[in-house]
Amino acid sequence: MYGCLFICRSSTYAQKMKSALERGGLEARVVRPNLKFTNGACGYAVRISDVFMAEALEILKEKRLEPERILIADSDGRFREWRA
Amino acid sequence: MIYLDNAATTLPKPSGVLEAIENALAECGNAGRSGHQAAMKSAEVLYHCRDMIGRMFGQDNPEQVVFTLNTTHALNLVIKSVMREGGHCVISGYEHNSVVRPLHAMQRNGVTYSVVRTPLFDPGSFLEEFEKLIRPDTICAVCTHVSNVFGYIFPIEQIDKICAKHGVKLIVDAAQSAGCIPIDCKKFSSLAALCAPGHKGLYGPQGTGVLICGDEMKWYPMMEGGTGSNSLSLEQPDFLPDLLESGTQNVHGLAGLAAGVEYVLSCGEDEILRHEQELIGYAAKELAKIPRFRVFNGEPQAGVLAFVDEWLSAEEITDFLGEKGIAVRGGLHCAPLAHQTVGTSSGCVRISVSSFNTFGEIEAVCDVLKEL
Repeated sequence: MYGCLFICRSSTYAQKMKSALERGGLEARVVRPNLKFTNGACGYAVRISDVFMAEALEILKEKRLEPERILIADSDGRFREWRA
Repeated sequence: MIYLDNAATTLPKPSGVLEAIENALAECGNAGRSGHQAAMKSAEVLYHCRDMIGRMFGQDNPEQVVFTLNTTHALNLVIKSVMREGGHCVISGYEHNSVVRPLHAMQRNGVTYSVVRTPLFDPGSFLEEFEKLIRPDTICAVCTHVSNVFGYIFPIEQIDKICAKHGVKLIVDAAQSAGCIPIDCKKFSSLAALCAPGHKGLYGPQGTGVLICGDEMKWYPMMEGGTGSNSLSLEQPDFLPDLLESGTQNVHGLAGLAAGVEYVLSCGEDEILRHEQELIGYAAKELAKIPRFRVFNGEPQAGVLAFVDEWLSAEEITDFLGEKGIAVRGGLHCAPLAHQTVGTSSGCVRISVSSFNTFGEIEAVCDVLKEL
């Protein structure tokens, strides 16, 4: 699957996001993203399949959870910024 | 051993707590520091505990559940945040040194405080006096939910209403009530924070405590350091819980705390309180049969009972009981203010029960005391 990353401000925020997505029926995983996605600092992200991105965004909106950034993988596996 | 010192720390702990700690010791890495399986497992354990504690106390946002070393740590964080710029504070006459000492120390920074000195088991007069002591410069009030010496349950819902009416922030010390009196933070209008231990009524291990943060509060950390977030910045993160949680977490203890909370929820807080009140009621009735004892029993009272003897000191009685394998606590219970308020400045003997105590144990202790 191609991935989608929701960059979070903290480990707790990432866990909170993961929990919300899982309660919404989506599979989600907390990961450490590449430092270039977190302005060179340590950070956390929630990874989901890009197939469920629209559904995930709905859940996050409903739960008022805001990722710092949203990244989506291209077919070559490289992540790029996603904008609505 | 008959253990009746549960207001100091509950003993025994539920078997699930021991198991959870053992599993965490075997499986957990350092939460919030790495991305490998052991670190992620640890982060999940922490989040699970945060989420459970939040649900138990009506705080829907797990980020506003901050882990501390103990209640004293939580109280210091909130008192030193709220009173940072100085101002006046109102406290009950039954506060622990974990409240009085920080306020005393902050007098250097322009903090003043007034003490509501009203009799035991008289919530009406407490509320009346409490409101009278609020001044235009009053910033916050600190109140124990249950006196750690006398078991007196304070009317925190009404205290909250008075605080809200006067724009005063309320800090609740739930050291003796967490786990046996249901508390819903959502119902409070003035709550700055609720501070609770993990190792008493929540049946977790020592070294665990929680600070349930109210909304619209400005927080100041007592220490800065690694949080696993915003690591390039020299500034401490400005968001919870990272703002107040620096350094490696006590994940093994918090795994145990989550299991303790599960135990409490499976028993039911109301049921635990009912059981403890029945035991204390029975103890009070039996001890009152000893003419030279003064027993501090009244309504509303949780699972803590104090008494004094006309002849023997509290220490002599606790030593006597200790030799018989009975664990109770004598002295001032780190709450000299409460003793001054009641007039027991030379200390008293405290019996405090948990969900594990039985009528048989209370009966045995009362029989021993009758032989004194």
